Amino acid sequence: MAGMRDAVSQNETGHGQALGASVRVVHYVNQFFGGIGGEEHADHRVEVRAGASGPGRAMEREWAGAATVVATVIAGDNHVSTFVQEAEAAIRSALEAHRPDVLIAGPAFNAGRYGMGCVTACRVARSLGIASVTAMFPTNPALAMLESRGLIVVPTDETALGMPKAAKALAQLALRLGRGEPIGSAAEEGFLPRGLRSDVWHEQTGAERAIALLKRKLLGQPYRSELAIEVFDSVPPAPPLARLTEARIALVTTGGIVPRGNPDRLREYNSVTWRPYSIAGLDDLTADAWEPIHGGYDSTFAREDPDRVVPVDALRLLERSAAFGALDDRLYVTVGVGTSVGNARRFGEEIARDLRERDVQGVILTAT
Amino acid sequence: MASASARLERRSFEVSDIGFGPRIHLEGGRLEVDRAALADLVLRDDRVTRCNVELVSPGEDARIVHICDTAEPQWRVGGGTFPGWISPIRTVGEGVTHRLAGVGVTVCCELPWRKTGGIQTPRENIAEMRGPLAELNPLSKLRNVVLEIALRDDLPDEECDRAVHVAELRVAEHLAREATHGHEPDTVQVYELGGADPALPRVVYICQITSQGPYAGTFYYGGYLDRLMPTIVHPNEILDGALVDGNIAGPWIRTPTIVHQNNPLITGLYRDHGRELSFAGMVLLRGHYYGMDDKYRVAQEASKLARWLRADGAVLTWENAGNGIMESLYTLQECERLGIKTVFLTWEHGGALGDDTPLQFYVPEADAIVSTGSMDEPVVLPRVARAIGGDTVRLNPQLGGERHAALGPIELSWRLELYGGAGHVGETRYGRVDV
Amino acid sequence: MTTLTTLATEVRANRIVAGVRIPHPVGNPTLAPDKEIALRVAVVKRALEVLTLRVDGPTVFAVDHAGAR
Repeated sequence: MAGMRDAVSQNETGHGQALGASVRVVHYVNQFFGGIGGEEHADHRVEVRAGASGPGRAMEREWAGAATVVATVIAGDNHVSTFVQEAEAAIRSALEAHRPDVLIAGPAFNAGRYGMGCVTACRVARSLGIASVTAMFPTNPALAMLESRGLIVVPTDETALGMPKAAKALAQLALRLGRGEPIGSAAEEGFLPRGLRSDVWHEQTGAERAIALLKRKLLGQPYRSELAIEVFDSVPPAPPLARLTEARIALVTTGGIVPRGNPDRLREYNSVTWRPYSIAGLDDLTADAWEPIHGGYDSTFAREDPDRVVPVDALRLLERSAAFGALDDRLYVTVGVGTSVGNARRFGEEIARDLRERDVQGVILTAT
Repeated sequence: MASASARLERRSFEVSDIGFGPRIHLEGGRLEVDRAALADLVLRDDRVTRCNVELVSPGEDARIVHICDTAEPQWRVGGGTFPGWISPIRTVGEGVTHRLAGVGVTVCCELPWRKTGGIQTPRENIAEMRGPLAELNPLSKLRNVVLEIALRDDLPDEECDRAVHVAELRVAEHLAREATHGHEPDTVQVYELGGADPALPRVVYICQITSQGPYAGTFYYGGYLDRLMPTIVHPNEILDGALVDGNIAGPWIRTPTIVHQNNPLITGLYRDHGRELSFAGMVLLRGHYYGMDDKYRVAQEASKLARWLRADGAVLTWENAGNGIMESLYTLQECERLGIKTVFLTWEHGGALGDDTPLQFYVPEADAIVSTGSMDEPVVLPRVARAIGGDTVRLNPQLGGERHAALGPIELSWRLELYGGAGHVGETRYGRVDV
Repeated sequence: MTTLTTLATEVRANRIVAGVRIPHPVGNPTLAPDKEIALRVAVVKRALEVLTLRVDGPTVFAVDHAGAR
């Protein structure tokens, strides 16, 4: 049950703080820092213990009563990274039961699975409107995941030798978050850029800022970009097809070729969905039955012959000559232009699941 | 032998109030326009079947729809205004030009939607005259002369694409000439390159426009840049009407003609010329080539021209969306390899919440980027008292087009339909920052 | 299969076959119909072949066919 807390106004993080009341913290740690054991306990399922454990105690000393760890959520590194949904559910129950003002996860340093667990815990907290903060080494693999976007991550050293510094930094930031205090940008506060950007009205126009930025660069003065370049995460390549002549192949396209009339009302830009369409028994895509609705390229050529974007005719010819096993009946369609990376990833996961169910071994994806 | 230096004297006549009157007349900042005469002028083009003239001022509870383009009233005293359109194709950018500052001539026309999508669709261009997003379009701060026109329905897209611009440019030139002929300007600005201390760093502005067919390209001296190589242009040419914006297909992601006529990177570099830098000139190129080889070719060409202009630094802009960013970033990359320091000005995606990937392409050398903000947030345009340009707006060409009342409210899934919002040449204060 | 091979490389697609042109990655409207279908069969055949090849990361495969350039 939520503890004693005056009914003050709730801000977006869901927590007002009456004067004098201690900030309520739930702390997520792995099996080692939770005092259960080492790697041999990495399968430990989520367990909730009252009060602080491990680094939580150091944080309580830092707070000197201003905040209290009301519960510690402990999960084994293997468990939390393998059985994500189950771990999420258990963490959610714990947070709903304790209703903290802030969740702290870690520090995970450079431990990848622990980092993933911290990311999961913070995401659950966010979904419940609870402020959260974690800490890990800047190149912890968990931070390359799209799921870590937007989270507040305090940078730490690579190993637990950096614990005193990390615990202190986490404690200070968590206290402010728990109190509902406004937090500055990553650059101002010292946490990692979180892949989160916010609209702003500058004092100067873009042109004025561009000329000023170039002058600084030309004078050799320090300068900062308003937008940092991003590197996409690598995807391990699927192993090569062993027997092409027996393989089931499917077609996927981001070129927006749909049945005439666009029956599923797919968007011309900024897709939020994908659709499968049957090409069973079709030797090619004809202009009377199919059309391009993609808004980002000159559709004249695809309108005349949709096979120019989705090569059904060529694949049928090759199928007939036994160059490969079979062309799957499903054509998977979406529109690529202006579509968020987040949505694109979701489409990929959903389509892949479908392909698996249909026993498809290889995919040809056409993009415009 | 002609001097290599081009001297442009822009005489500005300030307009702070506008109304209809018996003749075109400017006095004490108030511009009166002859409604019937302007309509007749437009109707001289037999491609136009109907023309109604409306006036819209800042702060009005109004929106303008079916916008095709906006031009600033401009008159080259020596002749040759808007070359390639209403004047022969001759290089502009020197001599004396009059402009009505604070006025825009906007042509509105519901163009036919003949295809269910694709890039060459004349989408709905909407401008709010008030509200939080009004600052992002060029019309909200102007006294607007709006030409509501209809075209003959037997015109192919390429003809429509030209007819709308002829209408606005004819009126823009006529207004400037009739209102200012023989009068003294409020301010005079002289634009001339050269004469700067050779020790000052030389800066080139590399301006990329797009060229993707009818309704989807920027005109250079009245023609598309399809087959033309990247070229050196004098910045005065841009201020003096060499570029006309034909990008009706991409409302947010376009640079209206009036913005080219007042390009703030050009005027800004001129302001610093001779003091903190030497404005060395401009390179103009198009993007959105359909093959990688051509993207590499123009990047090499544009950066080579910057090198020949002896650039120490360059500002790069692009326009429209999608793969066009690749030409500008490859150009930037090559400039940096040549030792030319670069700044890239661009809008971004990033999703409505700012938690998605901002740009669709990167090069590691792009370490100094200025962002003009995102179009990804959905928006509801409120009900207004007055809609100019049409009674309905058309959305979703891929569904055959759906109509909504122009008075609103209008729900947009993102901001694409809002006129000129991307701020391609840095004309707005909008942006995004890491938090 | 895309014309924008560097973009595909950047977003870490692993097997990338170079397309013909942006609006027709597996077509070429400048060719006569029978030549065009031959081109399409050639590029798609290459794509199928690439599915049987081992790659270690983003790799671009060109198509050796006159109409593909």
